[in-house]
Formats: sequence, structure tokens, C-alpha cells
Amino acid sequence: MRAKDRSDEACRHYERLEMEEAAGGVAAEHQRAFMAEHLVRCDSCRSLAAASALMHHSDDAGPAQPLDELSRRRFVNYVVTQAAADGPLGDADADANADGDAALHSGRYRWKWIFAAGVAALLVLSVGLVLALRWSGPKGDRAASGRAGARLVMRSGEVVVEGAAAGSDLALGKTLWVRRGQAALSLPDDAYVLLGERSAVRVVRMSAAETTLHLEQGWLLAMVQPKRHRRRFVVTTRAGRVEVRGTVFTVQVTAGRVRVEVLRGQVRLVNPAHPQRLLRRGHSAHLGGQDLTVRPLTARARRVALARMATLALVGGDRGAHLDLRSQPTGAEVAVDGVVLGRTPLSGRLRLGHHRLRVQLAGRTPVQEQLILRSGDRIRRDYELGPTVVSVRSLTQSDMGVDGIAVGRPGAGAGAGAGAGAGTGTASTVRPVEPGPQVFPPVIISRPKARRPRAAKIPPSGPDGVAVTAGGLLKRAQKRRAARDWQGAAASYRLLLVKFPASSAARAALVALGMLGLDHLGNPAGALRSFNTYLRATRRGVLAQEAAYGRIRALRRLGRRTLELAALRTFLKDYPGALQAPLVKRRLVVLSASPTKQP
Amino acid sequence: MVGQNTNPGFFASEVALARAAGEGNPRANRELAERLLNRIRATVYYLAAGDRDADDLVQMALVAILRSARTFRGDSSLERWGDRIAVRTALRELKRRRWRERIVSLDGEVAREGRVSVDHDIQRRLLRERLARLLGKLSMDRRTAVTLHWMHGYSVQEIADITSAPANTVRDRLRTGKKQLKSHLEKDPALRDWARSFIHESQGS
Repeated sequence: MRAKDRSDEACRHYERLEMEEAAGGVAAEHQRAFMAEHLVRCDSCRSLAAASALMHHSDDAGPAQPLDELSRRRFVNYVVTQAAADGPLGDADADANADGDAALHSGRYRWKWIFAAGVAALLVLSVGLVLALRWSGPKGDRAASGRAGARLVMRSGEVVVEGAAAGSDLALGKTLWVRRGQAALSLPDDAYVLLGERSAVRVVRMSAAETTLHLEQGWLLAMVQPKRHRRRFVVTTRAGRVEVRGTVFTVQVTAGRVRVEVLRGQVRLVNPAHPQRLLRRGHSAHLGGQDLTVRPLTARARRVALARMATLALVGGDRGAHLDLRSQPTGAEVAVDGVVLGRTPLSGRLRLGHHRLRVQLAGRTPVQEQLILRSGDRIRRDYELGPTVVSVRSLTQSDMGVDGIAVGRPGAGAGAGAGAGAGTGTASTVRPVEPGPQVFPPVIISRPKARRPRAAKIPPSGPDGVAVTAGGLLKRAQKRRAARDWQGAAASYRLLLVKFPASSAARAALVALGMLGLDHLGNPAGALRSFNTYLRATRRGVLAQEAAYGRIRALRRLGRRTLELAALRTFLKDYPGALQAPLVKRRLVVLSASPTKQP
Repeated sequence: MVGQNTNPGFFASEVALARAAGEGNPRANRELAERLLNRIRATVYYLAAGDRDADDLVQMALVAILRSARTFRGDSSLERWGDRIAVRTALRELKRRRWRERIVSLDGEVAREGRVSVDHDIQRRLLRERLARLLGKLSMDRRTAVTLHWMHGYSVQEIADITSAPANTVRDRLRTGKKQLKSHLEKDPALRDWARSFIHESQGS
């Protein structure tokens, strides 16, 4: 007990010294000695010190994925173009950005603050008055937000709203059918509902205390914001009801049963045959019938639900910008920021900000565009998706299809580039950004060099004759890569593989070596050997996905079409949700479509 | 500390570079953005707790820096001046975001579970990602204080200047943030392992 007290006291002393240093003080020699000694003894203080050292900036991108040269250039291009388009900030704004205090406390800003505070006080008073009046009045079936129904904020495919003139509101008691595609509803209190294909939902009740939807068939995913949500959110089905105050969950009605999955928070299941039951996050349950089985969510179900959640998170509420997309032919997949929203024709409200829009259809030239959406924008696009033109030469020179398949603007032919005009309709505030704005995911594009590089020399075993370690070799390779000495880095990796073949560092070195061979040394055959060795050793290793993708790239570079096809299929099967999956799918389509062998 | 540092690029000094960027010189804009890109990305990723939209924030921060370039007077280094603008821009944008938009980063959490034992620099990056996610459990104010202090070694007073908060408040945020992070770190196996080897590694290097 005493030893523990002493340890706590030492920790407190250590923290005190650290805080003094943070406040600008300089520790004396004996204090430094104490701190070093304490770090050796105390696990928890050491973990903090280690975290601090890990975080210390060393001219890299920290936790961010490093950008390759092309992505970096595009990133900087985008920033410079955007800054030039927006122009310099006004004096007050620029000063507030740079200096803050002086500008914020100047007379002009003080008056602004006083004015804002006055307006805020008035607002609070009026809101309080409205709330007081509402709570004192009779409670009935009326929408708290002033509209008696739900708002249709996104529709894609064939969506039918019963009795709607404008087609954007779902009135109380009316049914919404999604025959094909998807639809999203906005409800009071920032609740959003995504409806899947062949789904039908009816707004049953909207009162100050409760919002109730009835799901006739199909599935819905509901995101109900916690805390601020004061009314109960209920989804009824023929087998029972689901009640919630703030969570994310899915309800699916199939022919036989009703399935409920909870991703966040918890819901209450009310089933006539059973007492009420709470269903917690990460679990699913079947309503109806005699048994109420609760099981943990499978990985697949979780993935599917997260993808739907991502779609719903893109949808903006009443303040979102309006997007109306059509295409010729229809049925093209619309993805925003890599998340599939639905298929054309699609209209809906998207949350504000920067977005990457991509419209694609198998066998057609995809279209991509950078959108900057601001409040009140109405964006209309009508894309003509021409047949894909595949240039074998350009494909062999680029990686995984991004440059190989020409990307056109609406109204322009394949490969027309970014300079072509916008689509039909009004493009009020869309700002196409040039050059090609796609920054993420980073696509590594490298061109094979004309001649093979010279064989790398294996460096001596240690700089000072000291025996090398696996960690030391990795560090050496890292430094050489940072200095863009690719040959030197590869030599260090090879030495590591020779000297410490069984270490975990050696497995990582295999992947790193493969990447180097592919991206910088123009050695796809060597890269393929590295990836194959890694995948043979650890099929489910941490870097297995990178290795599998690298293998595809190496096979492609070598022109080994049959093996590449098989590798593409295996990759999609193993990693359907991977970042590279869309590129892999596209490549698969291209390879399957062209019967002739590539050189 | 007057920041008339020599600049290895085309422009004679940092002030000249910033002035040219403020006047809309594309070369200066490019050089300025290139110079600050890594630093700002790292900082903003920690502030955004590894959110997948963090690069959007980086873009906004860099645009804000370029648009304010003419206000740089050389009182501090270009990096410190850039940090100040980037942190303010990122915090403003993060505060504007809503709960609904943050939960999307769950996808990454699921995909990246498991222990980390890979190439040293990849390992460091993955560990930093984990650390960024742990920082995400702290409140925005505490996260900002810890990030600025640990990443760039800013003192309490400097953080107070950047965040426009009183020094005592920053000191308290730093103390409680560290304390909170300590308990989270103890529960993370990969970071615990890293901490075990920390003393050995730091002595070795």
C-alpha cells in the first residue's frame, strides 16, 4: 500500500514538472534525472511520454496517408486554384485569422458582438415563448416543425408518393413506395430515414410527443439524433414495433419475418407475443413468430448497414443544396465522395461543402466532377454517357484505369478533358476545378523506365561496424525513402530479408519492396515475386490487402491477363469494401469486355 | 524571435514569399502550400481525430492561409503563423459539423482493428492513426491543447494565444486531457506495446 502511495506521489511530481516545462519553465538537472528515472519505472507515465514522442512532428504527414507525387501536386493545384478563385481575404477577416485577439477586440468587432448577443437574446425569448405556448396547448396529431408530414429529401430510381402534388412532401397517412432505387426522408428533430428498393412506408403519427412510421415492406435505416430529440421515434411493422429516442438502426420486413439491427444506441422492441425487450448496439433480432432471437450483428450485415448509413449521412436537410441528376442512358450509378447514393434519375438534397461526384455505368464512359455546394444552390445535370473508349496503349501506361479510361465532362465526348462545357440545365454555383480535382483516393501512377535500373549494392552491415538489427534496417530504409533514394531503400529491405527472414519486419519489408519495385524502380516482375511471397506467408496479414492490390498492378504491368482476371475476382471477393474496389471493378469490366489479349 | 529566416526556395525570405503569395503570384502560392502541406495535414488529422473528411479541412486551412498571406509580417516563423490560421480554420469547421456527419468514420474503425506489426514507418503511421482516434475521445478543447503541445512543442501561453483562451484554462485542458488520454492509452494494446519499447528505442537512437 505504501509503495503504491509512493508511486502516486512520484507520478504527481512528474506531472507537475511536465506542466512547469509546458508553461515555459526549464527543469534543473536533478529534476531531469528524476523524470528519466520515473519513466523507466512507471508504465502509465511512459505510455504518455511515448505517445508524445510518437506525435512529435517530423516533417511527415503524421497519421494521414502519405500522398504520392501526383496526388500531392493535385492537392496543391486545387488549393492554389481555389485560393485564386476566392481572392484575398478582407482586412478584418485576414487579421482575425492571423492575429485574432486584436481584431476581435477592436471597436468594430465589439459592436458586432453586442449586436449578435442582442439578436440571440431576442431569439431565445421568442423560442421560449413559442415552446411555452405549445406545451400549454392541447396535444394533437400535428407536426412540431409546422409541416404535417415527412419531407422527401432524396429520390433515386422509381419513387411514388401517394397524393403529393409537388412530390417532395409525404403527408400524414400517405404512403411512399420505392419501386426501384432508394429514397430518403427528413423528419422533425433531425431524424432521417433511408428507404431501400421495393419498400413502402407510411407516416402514421406526428405529434409533439411522437413520430411514428409504419413499414409495410422492404427495409429502412433510421438515424435519430440523440439528446436533442425530445419526441419518441417509432417504427411499426405487422409483427411489432421499435421505439427509440436517439440511435441508428435498420428495420427489414421480409415475407416471413421482421428483422431489426442496431448500429448505435439501443431500441426497445415491443412484440405482442413477448414482453418488451431492449436491443443494444451491434445486435439484431427477429420480431414476429414465437421466438425472439437476439444475435450479434454479422460482419457482412454491419458492413451493409454502415454503407447505408454513409449514404444517409450525405443527405442534407432543409438547408442542403438541391441536386437533380439525369443521364442517358438512365440507371447510372451516382457516387458522392465514394459513397453510392443511388441510380439516375436522382434528385435530392445534399449536405453543403465540397463533394466529388461520379456517375458511371458499365460499358460507358464515367463522368466525374468536383462540386462546391452552398446553401440554396440548385444543381441540375443531364449527362450523356457515351460508350467506353479503351485505349490499350494508355491503359498499359497507367495504373488501374483512372487514366486509362477517358473522363469527360457532360456534353463532351470521351476524353474531352476538363475544359468542356457544363451539362444542360442551370449550373448556378458549381465550380469545376481545373486541373483534375480528384485527390482521393490517392492513385499512384508510375511509368516504367526505359531501361532497367542497375542492380543495387547491398550496404555494409552497420555504419560503425555495429551489428545491424531488423529495426535498424527498417529505419535505414525509411530514411533512404524519405531522401528519395529508392535503390538504397530497396537494398536495405533486401538485406533485412536476408538477415532476418523470419521476423515480422521482413514480411512488411516484402510489401514495401514490392511497392518500390512497382512505383519507383520499374521492376514489376520483382514486385510480383515480393507480393506472392508475402501472400503465401500470410494470407490474412495486416498488409494482405495492399499486397493483393499490388499483385494486381504488377500482373497488369506484366500483361498477364488471365492471372490478372483471377486476381481481380479474388480481390473483390476478399475485400468488397476496399478503397480500391471501384477501380478493380472497372478494370474487371474492361478486361471482361475486350476479348483480345493485351501485349 | 524575428522570423526573417532564410528560405531555401526561389524567394529571398519568408516575408517575401508570403508577400508574393498575397499578391497572387502562383509560384509563391504553390511554394507556400507545398511547404506547409505536411505540417498542416498532420495537425489537422489529429484535430479531426482521423476523420476521413480531414483532407477537406486541410484544403480549407491551406486556402485560408493563402488568402491571408499578405498579413504575414515575419514576427514569427511562417510555420507558426500557418499553424495559427490552420488551427482556427479547422476548429471553426469542426464545431460547425454535426453529429450525423461524424459517425461515418466508423467504417475505418472496423477495417483497421487488430494489432500492428508492420514496416516501421507504416507502423508509425498506423500507431499515429490509433492515437488520433484516441484523441477523438477527448473534448475538442483538450484535444487541441494536447495536439499543439505534443506535436509542435507550443507552450501554454502560445496555445492560449492561438485558441484565444486564458492561459490557466489551457493549462487545465492540457492536464485533464493528458490524464484522460493516459487511461485510454492503457486500454490500447498496440500503443501499450509501443510504449514498452519506447525507452529502449529512445536510448538506442
